[in-house]
Amino acid sequence: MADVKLEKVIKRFGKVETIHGIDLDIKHGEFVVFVGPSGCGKSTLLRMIAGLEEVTEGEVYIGDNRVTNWQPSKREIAMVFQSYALYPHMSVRQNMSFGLEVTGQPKALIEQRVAEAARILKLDELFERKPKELSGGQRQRVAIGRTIVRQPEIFLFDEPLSNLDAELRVQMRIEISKLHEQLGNTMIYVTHDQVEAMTMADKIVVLRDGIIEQVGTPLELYHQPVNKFVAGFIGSPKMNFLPVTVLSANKNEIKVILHDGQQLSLNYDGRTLNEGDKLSLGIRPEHFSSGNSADISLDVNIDVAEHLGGTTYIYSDIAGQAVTIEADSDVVFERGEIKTFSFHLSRCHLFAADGRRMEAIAEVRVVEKAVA
Amino acid sequence: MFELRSWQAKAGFMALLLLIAFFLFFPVYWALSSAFKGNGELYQMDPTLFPNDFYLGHFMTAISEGNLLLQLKNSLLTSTSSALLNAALASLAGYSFAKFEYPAKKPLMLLILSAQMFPFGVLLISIYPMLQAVNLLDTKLGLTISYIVFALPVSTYMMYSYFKQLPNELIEAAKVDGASNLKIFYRIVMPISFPAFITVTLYAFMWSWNDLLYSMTLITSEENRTVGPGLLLRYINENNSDWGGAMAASFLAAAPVVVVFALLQKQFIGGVTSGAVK
Ligand SMILES: Nc1ncnc2c1ncn2[C@@H]1O[C@H](COP(=O)(O)OP(=O)(O)O)[C@@H](O)[C@H]1O
Ligand SMILES: [Mg+2]
Repeated sequence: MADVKLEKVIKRFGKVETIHGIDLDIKHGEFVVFVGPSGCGKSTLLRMIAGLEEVTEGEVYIGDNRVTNWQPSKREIAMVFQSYALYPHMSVRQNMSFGLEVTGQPKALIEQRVAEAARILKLDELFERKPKELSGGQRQRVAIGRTIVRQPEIFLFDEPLSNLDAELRVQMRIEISKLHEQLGNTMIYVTHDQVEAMTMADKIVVLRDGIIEQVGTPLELYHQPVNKFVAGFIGSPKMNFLPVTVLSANKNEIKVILHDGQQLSLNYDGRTLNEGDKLSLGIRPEHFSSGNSADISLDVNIDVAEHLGGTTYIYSDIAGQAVTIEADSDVVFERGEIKTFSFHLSRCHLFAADGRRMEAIAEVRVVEKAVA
Repeated sequence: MFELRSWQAKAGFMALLLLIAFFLFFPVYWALSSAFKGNGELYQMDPTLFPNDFYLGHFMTAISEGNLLLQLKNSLLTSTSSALLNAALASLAGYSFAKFEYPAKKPLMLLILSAQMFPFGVLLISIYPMLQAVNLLDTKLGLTISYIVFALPVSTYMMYSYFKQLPNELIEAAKVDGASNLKIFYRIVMPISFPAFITVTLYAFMWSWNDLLYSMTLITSEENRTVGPGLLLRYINENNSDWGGAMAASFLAAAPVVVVFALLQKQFIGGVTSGAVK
């Protein structure tokens, strides 16, 4: 069994602390994705699990072992690097067998494992080629093949698809997911692309500036983001944030006013709030509908309309905030038009001034539309 | 670069190139053609540009009289072994500087490079008594070691610069694969660093092959004499009359370097690491 456990892990490069004490549990067989903006510490965290980066403070456990100071080769891990890191002077076959060879495995076993990996990844034809004679996608496959033959407990991936073109990326994404199903191993996958995270993960770890913002399944993150950062990071296009101002707040209710004077009464515990506090009302682009049938209506001045066929994206500016709306694909929208869109309050999230998402106290929220 | 548009500019540029080529190659050509001239033609008042008949006698005497072949052998032995040993040591040291972290790394590197700041004649002043102390004066081994002393700092720096740009991920991949540091070095790092290794080898080889001072100073017996001092002692003196022989011997001495270069020049062409990353 290969559970992975991080305990108060801290990383400092010289005096600069880049990972600020991370606790994390990963269960055997899980596909876990570390996601976050560039520079947030995803690679560093992964490399500490791999043993390629020293842990400054805290402990790393794999299975029952405390591996904090173990060499990478002892940890039963295999890693796919962003640059693939294939050995350029070796053929595909040699690249895949190198790991078994240097650890002194019998020849028959090596051949059998390499053949099996080649079959899984459809690499048979390329056996005698050198990396420079392969396409990007093929190199990627060899890099994955190199990890499979070693039958590690844990697979680590550091942005393995970022050098591929869009189409190939989707294809490889599916292949890696299938591989996970087939092998059932623990996989830890680093990406800055939230679409990859959403599509591949059993569990997503959202990182920002060296701390974990939230851990959860893709749908948990989508529906219950803990803060504005996660809400904005997960989901595509991004969630919209409308500025609202508190008119009054008590234990059972918060009254707010929108930019256009609409007043809303929301059933949240408002005891921490004061009159005049600025909050954000989050609503995803896909939760708008045309016309004024839903709870809250907005008049939207269309800046740009992108007609993609299946969907249409409308870009606008509301009270100084860029707003994206996923609109009816059957209607043609013109630039400069003013259209009414509306959304249900049950789809909204309310974020406090510090970015924290506030929990509603009842399932259904009281709505009161009034124009001041 | 700049572009040459008009034909005048092109012609002018060509003329300049030809002039430079002439300066570079005419002495070489003159020596070669002299080597093939009989003594009569060689010493006549109006020199001929091209030998009238190809006379091979000078080559015969250069080889048969004196120790040219023995000296060539000695040179080849000391130059090749010092060049290879130097490249091996420079690779290890350069790799260590480029890819490992340890205390006092920077000062250590500076110390090694500072050896290069002394003129090589000055180094000899300390090499001589050291070789004397270990009884290696007038031996090929002693000469080989002293060549390494001179070539190693720059060679180390050359290898260091090369290794520095070698992607870390390649080394890390091998580490995760379970290879030891030594295995990573000779199974992964060295095979892809072959061009750099060859460049450093050639640098050291050329230097020791052309050496005069060290060999003149450290070697005293005929049996250990290398080709540089050999030519000097035999031909460069007031009563030498065998200029044809001198030219022929010089060409025989230069030939191995030309051959080595011709064989290895392909290795200079990079691109060996292509396909490794990205
Ligand atoms: N070897 C290093 N030395 C100093 N700082 C580093 C080193 N590696 C990473 N960092 C810093 O640590 C932070 C996290 O980097 P990284 O883990 O690569 O981010 P990510 O993979 O999320 O883009 C960055 O600010 C980066 O500059
Ligand atoms: Mg990274």
